[in-house]
Amino acid sequence: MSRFFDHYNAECSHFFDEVMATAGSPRHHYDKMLQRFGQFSLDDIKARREIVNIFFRNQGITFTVYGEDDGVERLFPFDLIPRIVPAHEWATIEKGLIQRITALNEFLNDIYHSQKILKDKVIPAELILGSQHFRREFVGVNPPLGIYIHVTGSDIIRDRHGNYLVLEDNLRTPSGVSYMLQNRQAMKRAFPVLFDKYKIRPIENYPQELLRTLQEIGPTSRRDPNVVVLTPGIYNSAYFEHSFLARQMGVELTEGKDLVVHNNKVYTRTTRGLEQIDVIYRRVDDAYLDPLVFLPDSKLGVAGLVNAYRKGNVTLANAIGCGVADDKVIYSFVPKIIKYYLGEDPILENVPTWLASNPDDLKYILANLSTLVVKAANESGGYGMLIGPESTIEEQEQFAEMIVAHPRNYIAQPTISLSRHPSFFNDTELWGCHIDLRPYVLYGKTVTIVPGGLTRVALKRGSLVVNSSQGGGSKDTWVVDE
Amino acid sequence: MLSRVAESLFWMSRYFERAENTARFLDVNFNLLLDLNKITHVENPNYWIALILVTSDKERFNSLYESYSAHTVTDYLVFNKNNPNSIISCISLARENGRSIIESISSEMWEQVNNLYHYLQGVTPQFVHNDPYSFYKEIKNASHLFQGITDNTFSHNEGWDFIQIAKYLERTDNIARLIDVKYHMLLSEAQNQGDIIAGSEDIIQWMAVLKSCSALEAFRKVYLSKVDPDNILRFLILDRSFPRSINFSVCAAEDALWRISGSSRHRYVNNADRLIGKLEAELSYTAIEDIYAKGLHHYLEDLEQRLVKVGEQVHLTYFAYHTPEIEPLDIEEALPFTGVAGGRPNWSQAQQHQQQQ
Amino acid sequence: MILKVEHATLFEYDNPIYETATEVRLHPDNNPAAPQRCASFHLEVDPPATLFEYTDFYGNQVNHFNLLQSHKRVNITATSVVETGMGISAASEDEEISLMDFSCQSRYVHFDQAIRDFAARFATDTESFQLAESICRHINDSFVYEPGITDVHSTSAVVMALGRGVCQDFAHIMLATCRSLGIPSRYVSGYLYGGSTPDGHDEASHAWCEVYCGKERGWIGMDPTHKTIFVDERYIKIGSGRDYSDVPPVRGTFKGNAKESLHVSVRVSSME
Repeated sequence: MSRFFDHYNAECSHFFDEVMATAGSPRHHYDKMLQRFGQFSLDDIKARREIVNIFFRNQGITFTVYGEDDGVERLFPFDLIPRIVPAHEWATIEKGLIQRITALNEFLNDIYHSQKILKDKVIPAELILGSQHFRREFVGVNPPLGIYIHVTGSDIIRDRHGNYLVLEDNLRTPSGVSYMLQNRQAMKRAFPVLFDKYKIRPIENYPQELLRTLQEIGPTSRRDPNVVVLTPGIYNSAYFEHSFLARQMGVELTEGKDLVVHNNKVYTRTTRGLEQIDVIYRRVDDAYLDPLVFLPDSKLGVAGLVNAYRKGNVTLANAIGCGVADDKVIYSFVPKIIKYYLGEDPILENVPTWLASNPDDLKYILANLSTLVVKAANESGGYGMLIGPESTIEEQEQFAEMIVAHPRNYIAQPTISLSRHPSFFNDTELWGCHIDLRPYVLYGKTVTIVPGGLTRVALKRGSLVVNSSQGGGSKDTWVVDE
Repeated sequence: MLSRVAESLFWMSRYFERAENTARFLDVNFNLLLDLNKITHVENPNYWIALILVTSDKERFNSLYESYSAHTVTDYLVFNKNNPNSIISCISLARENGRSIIESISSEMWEQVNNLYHYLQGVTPQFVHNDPYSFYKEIKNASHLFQGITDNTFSHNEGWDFIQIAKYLERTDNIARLIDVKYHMLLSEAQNQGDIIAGSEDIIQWMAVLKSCSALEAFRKVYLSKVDPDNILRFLILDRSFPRSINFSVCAAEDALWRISGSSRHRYVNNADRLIGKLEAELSYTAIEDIYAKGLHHYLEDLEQRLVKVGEQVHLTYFAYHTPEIEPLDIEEALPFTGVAGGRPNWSQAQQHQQQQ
Repeated sequence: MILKVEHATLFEYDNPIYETATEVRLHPDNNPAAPQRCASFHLEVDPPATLFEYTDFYGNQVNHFNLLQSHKRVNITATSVVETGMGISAASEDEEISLMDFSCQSRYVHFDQAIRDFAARFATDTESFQLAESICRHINDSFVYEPGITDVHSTSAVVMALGRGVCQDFAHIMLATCRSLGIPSRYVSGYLYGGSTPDGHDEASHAWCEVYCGKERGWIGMDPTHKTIFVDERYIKIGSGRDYSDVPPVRGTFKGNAKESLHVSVRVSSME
């Protein structure tokens, strides 16, 4: 096959390997890739790594925060082996995501208006009212087209049998799309032959699609909406992405200090005076958006923004208050939410989830801490988590105390053997590394999904954690037409 | 463009120019001393005092150092972080402004200011003392490189115009101060000696004034070897072709301001344009006799104040957090500028709450 | 009674500030369920500003405005005429979910050990109405009314430890106690004719509680600061929420480097 894959141990009996169906027998959509890699020597791989590194360096794609001493800016770890998804698999994922996002949007609309789902007791009301992300200030406001979640990214994994499952919904400022776009550019330069062999669905138009979506959801009274990106500033770890997207869309990148609300309208301060803006793609969390209404000492927002939004003079993407629906506890109710609003069963299933706030579930969780993954419901990024099989008795006891003290804050799931994908270690040998997938969904007049998304890979051997802040990397993702 | 970005471009450029000018003064002074020492063998603190006077913060210097010497003045003007106008302070601020708008400048521009900053962090006072010539050359070269990179990698749009305005306002201000101080130093000495132009010592000092502005060779091309005060003043203040003369710099700043606002001769759009237009018009019809009639010191002092006003109006018109359509253009009411865009407290704080009783 | 309220809030600054953005909750409650009718409401801001309004999550009317240009003072005066004494607060149809907010902890209202100990002394097998009344009387007896000890940020835990405070604090204690015993109750901001302090002074607006006593009785107003306990026609309600932070009379932000001083004056007079 190739010097690399010959020695690749897929461990197919334990894991679903994305490339190898069984040892020595690859899945068909990887045939051409394996053939090509069979022609590479170590030096060939090294040369391609150089091409990729130079590209990323020139683009300035680093993920270190601009610290005081401007330390070494590290490149975001990128693996050279692409992840390939055949079109028919993607079709299911796409349908499932559209269904899920549509239902979640209905849910948000309901929660911020008549709250029928709570009155019908499908979801316990205290889960919503007790959520720190439920923004009472936004109740009764009608965002244009009734859309709350304009840009989302649901994380998808595959279990041992290869089933695609949704692991988590990200309804507030999901990041990583700039890496997805840059990965594709890098791969095109490094593996031009492969791009000839495969019919890969393009993703380069994402910025145009994003801009179109943002324009579609503007205040209905504004014909040619003025769109800006709102960033927390250069010290934010995702700043590169904010400025990248602003540049690609051709819109202004602003910070809170550039904005001012006057008589319920939002303006940027320019050298020509105040310029009204209509749509803000905001990469600032709710709590920091408006010191008049939320945290008063936030330096990142602008006073009066929520009132301007309420009045319909500006639209925010995503809307305020979406965090109430990407809570890990609400996640466990999503199948019920899909059923309630759409009358359908979920196309993409959830990972089984137990809620510590449910007394029966709590008993089960406490009895099975050594085999479960317990997560804090309100954090993101992989912190505040107990991975049962990897933990000590002491850690389990400590966690048990925390769970019992604040049951509403914890959920548990079985340890899923995430699917694995051959990835380079030191660009010399291949290991099976766990991966997930984060597709990006745009919701304007219609729902648009970029083919593929960001495949995140846990590059630390044996690690299950794919987040970039904890040693993860990424791969280019190809949806190929057969 | 965003006011904040324009303001940062302006100040990045202004601080860079300020650092370069300080390096020039120091460099020439060292050369001057070397030349003079061949004649008098005495270290005259007056020359060092003059440098501090040019940047006009004698009090601050006196509070930090006990005497004027090569060592103390160099330390103050190059390394002291308590001096907001030292080379190291200026480049730090230039870099900070650049970093806050890193997406608006070219990567080469950022690399250049960043490299200079790190170079300065690594230089020791000892190194400067041993080889001042190399050090100041490094600063000048870095500045030239920065300007060249900017010209070639930054679109000549509104942002570029703000960079030019800052550079030329700063340059004009620096030349005016330098002439003022040097002229009077030289004049008072000459009076003491009873003869304005005599002896090789004076010629050398007059040439030093020109060298500070990198103007010696250009001057010679125009005035040949007639190195006298009148010609020097004519060249440095009124010459329209030499890029480091006052007249040239004022014209360049005016051109940039007009490009931004769309003003033209006889038709100004805002106060910044009006003030600079007035200044440029007067300069174009001024002769050396007019300057002497007013008194050189008064003339230059007046010029400096007018430049300050131009800077204030640029700030109010384009950068200030009150935009003209809302605010009367009254500098008294505008919040003070702190030299780094965003250095003002431009974030919200909560009003107090009333307790219910 | 027909009462007139003049409530003035003055912010002064030692340096010019800019970009003031303010929300005020000064409009007397005019919901059909309220035991009063607001005949007129007039809000004035100096320097002049455009006024906007909306109704918040708890049904309170909010007015807001902003001032862009630099200024050194902001004077907000609200004048209203209210007819009081028109029955009790009726409960509305689907209170169940909305009662949740009034049954748990909030920013100022905490269920700490001290509150639990305090609440333990009350007999809980009585009706909400009786229980709330005895809580109210007990707070009125055992807490000392004293301005200047707490500040506007003092939570119920702080007040509990100090044993003294002003109406805002007494209300928070009552809310903490009632809620921890399962009685939904809400914070009410408003005015009291005859002066909000026990001895009739008028430096501020007033705060008390409304307790939910079942579907038939609805919300009953109780004031732990005054011996009379029950809210009557001398009281003018502005609005209600979980605690002070949901109904601050004036809340705003500004930009600038200045020291702020605040002066408040309230005058409630009878128009009969």
